[in-house]
Amino acid sequence: MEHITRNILLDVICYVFHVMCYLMISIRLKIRIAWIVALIATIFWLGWQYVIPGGQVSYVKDFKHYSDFIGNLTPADRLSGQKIIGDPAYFSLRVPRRFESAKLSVKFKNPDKLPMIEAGVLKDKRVWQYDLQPLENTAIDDLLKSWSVLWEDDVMLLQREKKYSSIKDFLKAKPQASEVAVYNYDYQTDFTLKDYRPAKATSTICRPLLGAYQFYTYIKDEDLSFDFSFQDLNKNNDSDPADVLVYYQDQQIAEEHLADDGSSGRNLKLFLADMPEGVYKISVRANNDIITRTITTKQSKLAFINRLDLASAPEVSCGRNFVTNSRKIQAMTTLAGSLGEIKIHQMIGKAFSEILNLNETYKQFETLQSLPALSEVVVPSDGITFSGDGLFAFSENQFFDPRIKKVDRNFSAEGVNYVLARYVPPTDKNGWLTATANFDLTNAYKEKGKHSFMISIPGLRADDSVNNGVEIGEIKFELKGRSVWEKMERILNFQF
Amino acid sequence: MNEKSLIVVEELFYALSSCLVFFGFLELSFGRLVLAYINLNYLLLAWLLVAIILLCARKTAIKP
Repeated sequence: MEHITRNILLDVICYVFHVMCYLMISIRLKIRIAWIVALIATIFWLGWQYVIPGGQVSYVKDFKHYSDFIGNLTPADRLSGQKIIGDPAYFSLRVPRRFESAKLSVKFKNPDKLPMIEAGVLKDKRVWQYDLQPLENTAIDDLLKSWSVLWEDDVMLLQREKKYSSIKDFLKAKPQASEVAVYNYDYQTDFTLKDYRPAKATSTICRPLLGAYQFYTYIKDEDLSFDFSFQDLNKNNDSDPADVLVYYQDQQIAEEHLADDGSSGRNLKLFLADMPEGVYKISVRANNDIITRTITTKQSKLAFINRLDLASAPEVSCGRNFVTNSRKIQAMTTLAGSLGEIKIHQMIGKAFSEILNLNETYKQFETLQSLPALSEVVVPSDGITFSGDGLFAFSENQFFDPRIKKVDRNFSAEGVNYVLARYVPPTDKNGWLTATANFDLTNAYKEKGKHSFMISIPGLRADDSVNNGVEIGEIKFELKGRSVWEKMERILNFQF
Repeated sequence: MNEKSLIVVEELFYALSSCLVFFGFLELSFGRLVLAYINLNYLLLAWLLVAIILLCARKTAIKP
């Protein structure tokens, strides 16, 4: 579209010049008419680029030429030229108008065969939530070479031994959850805890947690009841609301909002009666100015997802040890007083597994070896952020894992017979891999006309001695939105 | 400088001046509209060069 408008404008200018020659007017007038026409044409072209009447446009950054729309990769300490050496790296996309979807194409080299590369757009700035889409997953790429594969659009089913002839058949048959691994796919299972009995009394988690977190809980013949006690640290002057969202089978079923009324202590009650038996995911959205002091609940199962951010609260005497089934744990602190040794034991038999020596602030430490199926982590002090690929709970009784195995960087195909993934492997051309990812921009966060994007390479660290990374060759966006005609049509039909 | 060249330089000066005014106004009204495609620094340099040439040419033209 861009080159067509440019050609039309050039034609108009040539035509005007020919007419002027034909009319034999003075040279001053000829030149004046020519530059006025050229100026008007340029302003028209700029306006066209700004409005994008067709609703579709593409922007490219090849790292050789300047692009005003796609920003540079940041932060500098995780980059070596165009090579990402630390996870994650960010870049921005400036959009002159509103778009509904974006198709991102990334040209890259992965010489070290790093297991996972994902790209994402920022959805919620308060909780720093990115909508991540796959660019490369080497575990699936390896399985594609040896396992039987079925495709339906962008969904693939990998089978160790071919048993199902279509994905529909597979979803209908629903094989045992332990045999299935998923990647970027919402696979619904009827997870139930066979010997589960509702708790007779309420219990309180009194270990303060910082900012946002998510956890799974389980209910059967009982009400879903949580009482959150929040504390606003008021370290910044912004409003600090808190939201609690409840999900059942990946659908949001309830939401509670707690506005910032200026007070330091606030409470939020979540109560849902007559809910069916099953697993519920509860997401607490708050910024790091909010501490959850206590969670009082009737539920006996409570497993935090992927992250446990222990707030610094030395006056609290509750235990801070926890159990996890993460195969690797990362720990980081910003407080000098929180440095120390974190001991990790095997839950069964209490055999010693590993010591994570947290001896530097603002640096992420990771366990070296793969941890046992369930570990107990002995934490020396508060103010430490733990993350991992598994779930975390403050006691073994509260722990349960309803998730399906995920094809992530710690994936092992042992015991897995089926992999269901929404993933298209990258194409290889002259040593460069090209992968595409589609994003919905309607609910994406935008600040000063810019969307924030991330390239995530889990496990890649800039501060280790290994010189590995992913080289980015080109970033391309194909954006789609409503055309001016569609917008006018909607206005005429009173659809705003 | 002959008369024809002087006319061309004069018109070029008016053209570049108009461009600077219009593009500056557009840039102030709609952020990054112009700068995304046109480097106004080069335009300003070109305008300055043409202005100097024009001044020199006029100075020589009015000499007795």
